[in-house]
Amino acid sequence: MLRALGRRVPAIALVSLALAARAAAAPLPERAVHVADYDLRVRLDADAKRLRGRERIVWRNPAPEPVGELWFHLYLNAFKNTESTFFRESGGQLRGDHMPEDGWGWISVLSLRDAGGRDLAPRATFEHPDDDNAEDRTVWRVPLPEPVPPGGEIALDVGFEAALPRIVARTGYVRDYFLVGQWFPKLAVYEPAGMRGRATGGWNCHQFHANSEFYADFGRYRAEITLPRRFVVGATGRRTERRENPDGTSTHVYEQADVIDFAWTASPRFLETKAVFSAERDVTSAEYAQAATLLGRSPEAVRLSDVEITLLLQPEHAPQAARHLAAAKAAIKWFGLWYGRYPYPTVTIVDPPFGGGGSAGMEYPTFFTAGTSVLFSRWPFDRVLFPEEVIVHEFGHQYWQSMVATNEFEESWLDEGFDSYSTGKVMELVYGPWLARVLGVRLGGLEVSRTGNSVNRMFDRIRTPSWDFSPGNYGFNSYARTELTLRTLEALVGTEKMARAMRSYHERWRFRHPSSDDFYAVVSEVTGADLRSFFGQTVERPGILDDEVASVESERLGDPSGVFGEGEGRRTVGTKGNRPWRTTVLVRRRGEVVLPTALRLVFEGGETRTITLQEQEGGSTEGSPPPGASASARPWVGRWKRIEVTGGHRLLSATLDPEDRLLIDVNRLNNSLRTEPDRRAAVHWGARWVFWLQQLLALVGL
Amino acid sequence: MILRATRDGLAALRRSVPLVITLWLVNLALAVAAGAPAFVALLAATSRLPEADALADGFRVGIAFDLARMRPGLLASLAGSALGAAFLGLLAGAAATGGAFEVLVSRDERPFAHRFGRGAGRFFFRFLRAGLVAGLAGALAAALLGGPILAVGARLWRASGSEALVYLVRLLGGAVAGTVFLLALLALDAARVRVVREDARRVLPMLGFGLGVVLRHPVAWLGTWGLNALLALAAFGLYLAFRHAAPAGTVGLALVMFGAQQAFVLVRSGLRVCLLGSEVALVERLRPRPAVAPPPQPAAPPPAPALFF
Repeated sequence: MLRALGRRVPAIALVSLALAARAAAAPLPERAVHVADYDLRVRLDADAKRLRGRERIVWRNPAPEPVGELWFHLYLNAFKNTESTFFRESGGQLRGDHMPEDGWGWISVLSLRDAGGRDLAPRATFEHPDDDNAEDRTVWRVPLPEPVPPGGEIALDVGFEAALPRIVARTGYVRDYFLVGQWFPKLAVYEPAGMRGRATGGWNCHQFHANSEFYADFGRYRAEITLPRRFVVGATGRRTERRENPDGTSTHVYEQADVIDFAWTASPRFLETKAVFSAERDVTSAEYAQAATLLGRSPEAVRLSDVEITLLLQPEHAPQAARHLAAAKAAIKWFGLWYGRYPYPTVTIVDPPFGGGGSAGMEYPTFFTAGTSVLFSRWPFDRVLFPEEVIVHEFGHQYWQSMVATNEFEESWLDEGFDSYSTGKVMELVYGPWLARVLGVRLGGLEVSRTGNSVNRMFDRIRTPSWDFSPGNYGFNSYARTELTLRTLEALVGTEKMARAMRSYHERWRFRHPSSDDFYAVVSEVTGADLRSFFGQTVERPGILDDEVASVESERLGDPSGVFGEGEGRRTVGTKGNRPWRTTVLVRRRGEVVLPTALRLVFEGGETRTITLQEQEGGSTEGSPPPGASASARPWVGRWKRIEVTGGHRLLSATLDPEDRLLIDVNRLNNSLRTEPDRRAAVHWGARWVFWLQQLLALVGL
Repeated sequence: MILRATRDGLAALRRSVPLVITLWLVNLALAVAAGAPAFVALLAATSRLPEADALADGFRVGIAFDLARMRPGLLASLAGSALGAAFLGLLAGAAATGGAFEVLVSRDERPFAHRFGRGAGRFFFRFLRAGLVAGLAGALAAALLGGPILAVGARLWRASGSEALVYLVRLLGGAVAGTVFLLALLALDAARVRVVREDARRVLPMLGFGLGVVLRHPVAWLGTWGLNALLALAAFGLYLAFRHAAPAGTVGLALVMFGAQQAFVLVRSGLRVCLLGSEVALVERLRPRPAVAPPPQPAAPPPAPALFF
C-alpha cells in the first residue's frame, strides 16, 4: 500500500498532477438533480405546541425501473412513546436531558392524495426495516395504485398534524422556543441499482435512531410558516415574503433549491443579527492564491461568493455575537476554499436557549444550531472555544452531509467524521491548537480526540450502521476516530495530496450520495497510492494501532572470553578489550492495525539514525549512520522485530513514529524508550504532589 | 473588632516564630512521608519514557491519560498517597493544634518544645473527638441549609430560561453551605481555646460554648477569618505569579520551584498561627461573662432599740 510512496514518488507525483489536472477540469456542480420537491404550508399553535399543515410533494423516479411504492419518514413519531426505536436506544435522553412526562411528540398523516384525488393513506403501513420493533412508527410505506415509470413523476397532496416534543434531542420546544426539524412527512431515498453499491434498485429508508436521522434526496423547498406575530423566525433558505394576517399572525415564506431538508425555528426572544461574508473582503488574494496552489486549481475555481449570515442569539449571549459571526465567517471561508464555494446565498445560525440544549449542535441545510453558555462570556472561561467549534462543525455539515449527502444511518463516518476532520483543521488554522485555556490548563482539540482512543476501542469498525456499534462507541468511531484516521492518512500521503483528494471527492459528489467505496476510489486515484490496505485496516475492520518500543539495550562488546582450546592447549581468557557498542531495540506491534512507520535511534554525541519499518518485511535504513556503525533489522517474527546496531556510540533513546504521523496510535507513551532514566518529569510532579499534599494537610487541620 | 483581633493575632505570630516553623516542618514531614511512594511511582512510570518528558514543562492531558492507562498502579499510588496524607493530617492536626493553643495560651516560662509537646499530648484525644463531631455536625448543617437552595437550582435547570439565574442560585447554595461549615470550624476553634484555658474534659459542652460565642458574633469571627484568608490568598497569588514567570524543565529549576512552594507553606503556617492567636483574643473578648452580682448592700442597721416601752 503506502510503501509505494517511498521510492516511487516522482512517478506518483506525475500521475497525481495529471489526475489533479483532470479533476480541475471537472467544474464544481452548480445545481442538484431535483428528485423530490416540497411545497409546505404550516401553522404553529404556539400554546398547544402543535403544527397543522399541508404539503405538495412532487417525486421523480430516478431509476430505470418503475417504482410501485413510496417510503416516508414520519420522524416526529420517534418521540411518541417509550416503545419507539429512538426511545429504546437512547433511553429517552440525550446529553443528560430526559423526556418529561408531558413532552411527547408525534405526527399523523390526515390525508395523502395523488393527482387524481385518491386517498392513498388507508393502504399505508408502518415498517421497521432496521429492527424488529413493530411499535416504531417512524417509517411509513405507501403502495401506489400505479407505479411511477422511469423518469416519470408523481404529485401528492398531504395533510398532516403534529405535536412537537419537549426538547430532549434535536427537535421540539422549550417554553416559547421552537426548533422544528424532521417535522413533515418526507420521502426517503430511492437508490437505483449501482448507487452506493446496490445490486438492485430500492428504497433506502431507516427508522429514526438515537444517533442518526439524515438521508434524503435533493429538491426545491418552499415553506409558508404561519405563527403568532411576536415570533422571530429563521429557516432553511431565503425569506422571500412576510405577510401580516388579520388574526394576529404572520406568515413567513422561505425558499431554497438544491437542498435535502427544511427546518425552522421561532422564538420571541431571539436577537436577530445580520452580517455578510464578503468574498472580497473576508478572503485575501494571498489566501485565494494559496488555496489554488494547494489544490492545483485555477484561481477562478477557488473563488467564493458572498453569503448573508443571520444570527439568532439568546439575549443573555449577546456579548458573544461577534465570536459567533467570526467563527461562521471562518468556516465559510475555509470550507469554501478547501472543498468548494458555499453555493447558497444564506446561512442561519440558531442559538438555543438555556434548557434547550438538546437542540444544540444540529445541522440542516443552510440552517444550523450552535450552543453556548453565559460562562463563555466571562473570565476564566472566555478562552474556551466550544461555541466556535460547534459553529464551525455544524457549518461543516453543509459540506459533509448536506451537499455531499451521505447516508448517516449506514456510514456516519462520512458525515460526522469528515466534518470532525475538517473542523479540527479550521480550528487549528484560525484559533491555534488550544480548544480551551482555563486557569493554566490547556486542552487541544486533537488531544481530546486522541485521549478518547485506547485499547478498548478495538472492538468496533468505523464503517458500521449507527445503531450497531458496541455500547458507547458510536460517538468515538464516527467523530474522533475518523478524524484521527484521516489525519493519519494525510500524514502518510502528504498535505497537498490529501487536500486535493478531499477537494476532488467533494467536487465529484456534491449534490449526490456517495458511499465509503466512492471515497476510497477518489482518494486512491488522486493520491496515486493503493490505499486498500489502509482503509481495510482502519475503517473496514475492527482493531487498533499500538506500536511499542518494548526494550532498548546498549552495551559495549568485549573480546571473546571463556575457555578455549582442548587438552594441553586449553586456556581461559578473561573479559577484556574495548570493542564497539552493540545496541538492540525490540519493537512490537500490539494492535491489529499495521502501518509503515519509522524508528529513530539517538546516540550519544547527537548522532541519529532513522530506520523505516514496513508492515511485515525487513527494514531499510535511512539517514546518517554513526561512523563505523552497521545495522541489521531482522524480519518480523509475528508482530515483533529486533533491530541491532553495532558500532558508533551508546544509544540514548529509540522512538517509533518520531514525527507523530500515526495519530491513530492508541498510546504515544510506549512509542519510545531511553536507556538511562531522566528524572525531570518525576521531580517536577513529585514536588508539586508534595505541595498539594501540604495543602490537603492544611485543610484537615495542620 | 476584626482589625483588633487580627492585630492580636499578628502579635501572637511575632511571639511564636518557633511555633510557625514547627507547624511547617510537621506539615512538610507528613507530606513527604505520604508523597514518597507516589514520587517513586512517578519516577518508575516516567523516567524511561521520552514522550513523558513534556510533563516537565507542564500538564498535558493526553500524556496524563496515556500514563494512567499504561501504568494503572500510578493512579492507585497517588490516591493512596492522598488518603494517607489525609489520615495522617487528621491525627497530626489534632495534636499540632493542641500544641499550638497551649503555646499561645499558656503563661508559664517553660521552653517552647515542652509547652508544645505538653499541649499536643494532653489535648490530642479531646481535639480529635471535637474535630470529628464538629466536622460531621458542620457537614450535616451545611447539607441541611445549603441543600434546599441547591435543589432549587436543580429545578431551575429545567424550568428557568435564565442560565445566569441558575448559576447564581447554585452559587448561593454553595456559599451558604460553605459558610455554615466554616462557622462550625470556627466554633471548633473557639471550643478548643476554652478546652485549653480550662483543661476541660467534656467536649460537647465546650462545642456548645464555641457555637454560642461564634453565632452571637458571626461578623467578627467570619471577618477575622476572611481577612486571614485574604492574606493567604495574596501569598498564593504571589506564588502563582512566580510559578508562571519561572521556567521549568530541569531538575534544578524544579528544586527552585520546590523552594518557592515551601516559602508559601511557611507563610501559610504563619497565617494559621496568626488566626489561632486572633481566635484566642476573640474568645477572650466575646465570651459571655457571668453576670456581675451587685455589690452586697450594707446591712441595714438594726432598728434602734426601743428605748422606751
